[in-house]
Amino acid sequence: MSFVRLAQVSRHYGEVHALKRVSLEVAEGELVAVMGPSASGKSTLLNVAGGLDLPTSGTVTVDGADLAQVRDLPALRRRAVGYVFQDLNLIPSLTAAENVMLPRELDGVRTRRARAESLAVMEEVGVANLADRFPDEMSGGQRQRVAIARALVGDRRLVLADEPTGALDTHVSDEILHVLRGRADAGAAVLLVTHESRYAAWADRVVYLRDGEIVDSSLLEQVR
Amino acid sequence: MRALLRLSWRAARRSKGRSALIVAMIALPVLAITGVVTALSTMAVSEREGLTTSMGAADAYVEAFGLINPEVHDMGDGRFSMSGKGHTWTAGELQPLFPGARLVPHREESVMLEDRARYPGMEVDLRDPVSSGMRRLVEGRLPAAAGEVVVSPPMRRMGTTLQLPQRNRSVKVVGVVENPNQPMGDELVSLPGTLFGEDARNGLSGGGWLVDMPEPLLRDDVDRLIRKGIHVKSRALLQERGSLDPREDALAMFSYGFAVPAAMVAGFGALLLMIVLETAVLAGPAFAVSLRRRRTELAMISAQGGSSRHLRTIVATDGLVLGGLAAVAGAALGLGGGVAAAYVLSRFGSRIGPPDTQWVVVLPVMLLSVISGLVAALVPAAQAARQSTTAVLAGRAPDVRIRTGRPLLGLALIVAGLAATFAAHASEEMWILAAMTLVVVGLVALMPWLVARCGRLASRLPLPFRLAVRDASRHRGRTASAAAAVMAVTAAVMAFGIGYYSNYVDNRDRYVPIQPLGTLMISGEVPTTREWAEIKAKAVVTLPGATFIEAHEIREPGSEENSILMLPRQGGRCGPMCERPGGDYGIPVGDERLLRFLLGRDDPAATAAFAAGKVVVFEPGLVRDGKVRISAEMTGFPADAPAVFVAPSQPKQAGAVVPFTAAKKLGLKTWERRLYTRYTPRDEMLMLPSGASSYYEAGYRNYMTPQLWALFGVAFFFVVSGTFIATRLAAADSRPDLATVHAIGGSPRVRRLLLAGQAGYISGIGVLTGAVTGTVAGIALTWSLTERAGSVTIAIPWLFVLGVVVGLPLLAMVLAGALMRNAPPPLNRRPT
Repeated sequence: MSFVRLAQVSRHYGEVHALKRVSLEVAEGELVAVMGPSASGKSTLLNVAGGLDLPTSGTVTVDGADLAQVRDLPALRRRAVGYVFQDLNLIPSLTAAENVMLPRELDGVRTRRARAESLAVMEEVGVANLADRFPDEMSGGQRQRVAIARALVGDRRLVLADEPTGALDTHVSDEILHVLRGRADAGAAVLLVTHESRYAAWADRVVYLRDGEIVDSSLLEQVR
Repeated sequence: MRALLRLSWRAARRSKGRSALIVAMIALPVLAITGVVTALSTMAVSEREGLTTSMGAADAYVEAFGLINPEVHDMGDGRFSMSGKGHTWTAGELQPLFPGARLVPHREESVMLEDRARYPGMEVDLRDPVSSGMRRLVEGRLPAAAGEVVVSPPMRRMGTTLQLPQRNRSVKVVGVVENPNQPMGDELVSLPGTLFGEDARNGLSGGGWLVDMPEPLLRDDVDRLIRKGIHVKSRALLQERGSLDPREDALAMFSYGFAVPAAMVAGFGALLLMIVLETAVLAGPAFAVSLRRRRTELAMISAQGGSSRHLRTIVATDGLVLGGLAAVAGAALGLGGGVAAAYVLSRFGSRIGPPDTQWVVVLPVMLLSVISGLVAALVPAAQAARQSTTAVLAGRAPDVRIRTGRPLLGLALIVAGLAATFAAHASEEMWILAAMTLVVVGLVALMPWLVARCGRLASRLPLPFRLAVRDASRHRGRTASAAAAVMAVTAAVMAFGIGYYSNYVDNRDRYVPIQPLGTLMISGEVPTTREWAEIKAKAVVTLPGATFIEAHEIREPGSEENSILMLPRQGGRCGPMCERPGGDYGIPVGDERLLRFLLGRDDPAATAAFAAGKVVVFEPGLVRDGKVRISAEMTGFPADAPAVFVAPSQPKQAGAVVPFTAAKKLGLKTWERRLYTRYTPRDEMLMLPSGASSYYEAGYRNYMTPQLWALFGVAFFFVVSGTFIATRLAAADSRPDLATVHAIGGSPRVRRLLLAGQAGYISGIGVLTGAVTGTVAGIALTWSLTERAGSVTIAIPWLFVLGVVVGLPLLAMVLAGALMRNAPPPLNRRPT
């Protein structure tokens, strides 16, 4: 069953058509990679899928809820959707654990419980030992792992990752993809934007975007 | 909220410099107000605080002078009033009323020394344990015999033997003591009988006993003694309930409610509003720049589910955190500084008690600073809530809508404020201040629009200035805020400058000298010719070589006192000069020498009239049909005497001279009690025997310069610091522009001119708008301060105005151009 569903979604910025009638579904336990050249609409697709941006037309459904009908989109992001970006991921003035806690605390969860939850999910992605470090005391890979932990905290089942390995070396990138794959296998729906076909190999399905349109969607077996 | 506070606190710590700047700006008013209040409170010694220095270790203090067998009128609620015959109690009479107690005599009065000046003196046995703590021995020993005294530290200079001219004896200084509540005050202390004579119980003032009792004196005992007519103070009661401390009284009035004039409320409210506004507009740009730096962070939070409300709260919390820090820092520094200031002042003779402050003032001021911080962060907070997360995350320029302020609201407020100023111009100053605040708030709202408008005029300027003005107009949030801060201060400073300068000019013009400038009059209020001769002799010795002209005063029949001779106005028009003919001393009676002296020249016509027995009057309005009305407090007066008006050489001089013949004709008894002479004031004081007083005519002696300088200092501080902060922020912001200018060959001079241009633009707009507002308010103030019978004095302190309007922006420009860091920035990728 699909966790996120985009149906005939378009997004225009004035004369610029960033997305054109895109339809896409990502099921729980599935990792979908989105590929395409620069300005093909990959990031817009991710923003629209998580409710950061609203489509000009078409519908986006997350966990059965039509985003056009959702009155409190930030609350949806706090509870159901987690974002991971290439950089600018963590807030420099907060420790790793505090960064991971942030969505839960914004949701009104008490500090002690939020911290316990964040430590649990940091344990899962293997960064529990970094809990009290500040972002500038961590390596790039460690920062991305913490960002993934934050994207998952609080039982969130949709991870939207925008070039999460863009600023990392190959070895660390492999580790990050490994973590994302693991989360998908544990039941999360993962939508990964990347321009490196190497990482697309980790996905269950690959979607190719060009000029805002899906030009191909193939299962992993077909890619291989 | 905890997460938000944590975020703000961490962000404040990460950018320490900027946070410190904001904290400093917000803390300044708290620091100043807390410092002054703490210093005053520490310097004010309440009766309870001064208990030990006034009573030592005694359980009670009994005054010698009281009532005997008084009638007690009970007024209910335990209150009563008493009436009866005055009585000086003796130790023998009192002892039975204080069973088992020891009465130690104590007396405080002033004592005259050989320089004829009077000094505070005290008689008590400082060696007695009951007086312990009253004075601290710092040198030598305590008096142990009659004829020995100890003095306070400043009086050490007077030598080891002091003369007491009134007692015809000398005393020996054996030590130095300090009053803990006034370490550097003048004082002499001796055993009873040395300073004031044997009869210490004459009941006139300052005499009594320190009472050492086996048990504390309780309320019932005090009541019982007071009903007997004995004035007694109980240590136990004073410690328990404090005392009639004037400050506590004021607070009690405050808390129980009393009629506060509406004008005071309006003025005070306006003042608070101005403080919050000034702080907020000064700190506002710094918050705006913080926001720009934190945009990505806020976008990240938004991506993680932070709502607009969350983002707004985060930025507002910054204001709360920094405002709170400023409140604590300002209050702490103010408390420390106030106590330190009180200590330093005590070394120059002022009083000092235990460190003390008025929390009822300090706490609201601290709250005010928290509010100021919050208000300063409100606009950036609103912008944070409006920012587009996707645009920021994509590295595009934030599409925050740039507002041109609220020009219509601003205009409406300005019009309302001007109308209010017009309506208030003849009322109290506080109303005018309140009306001016309305105009200032209006201008704050109008400022972004004004900045944008002025930016359009930049196209004809040279490149650096054009760039500066364009940049300032583009970032009008930052520019308008700083310009508004400058405007508010300039308006206040100009209003007070013009108002008080006009008041000064008005007072100066209305001043009436009562004798020629540079002359001295010595008057003797003494009953015998011998004493007057002593005064004259002393004057001759003190002013060697001076020529004295004697004059007479009126003697009340059957009395040994002088009477004051006045010339009352008889209706009709009378210039400012006839408001005080003769001043407080009255019109003199004298001969032709006196006439010549006061007239300042030889005038044959005046001398002839004077010789013919006519009063020579220096004020035309007082002579009617050749007569002047003379008043004196005795029978047969007022009476008319033949008179003639003569203008004295000294313009505006008032007064008159009565010839002996006229005085005789009016039936007045006179005696010589006055001397006139030319005199050049010297540093030393003119020491005259008691009963003599002197008046030196120095003209109008209230100088305006210090006040104007102080106002200029305030303007300088705020205009330059406000401009500097905004220019620094602008410089940080326009680093990419500076890099481009540098890359295409712009010299360091161009970059400096650009910064100077920014500073000039901000301070120029602020100062000009502020000057116009302040001038209007200042002119309104002149009505309130100088209006008399429909005439108003409006005087502009041109040099001051020029300094503020032209000098300060120029200074801000030069300082910004010269002091701002100007290294060529690297040419980076820019997110546009």
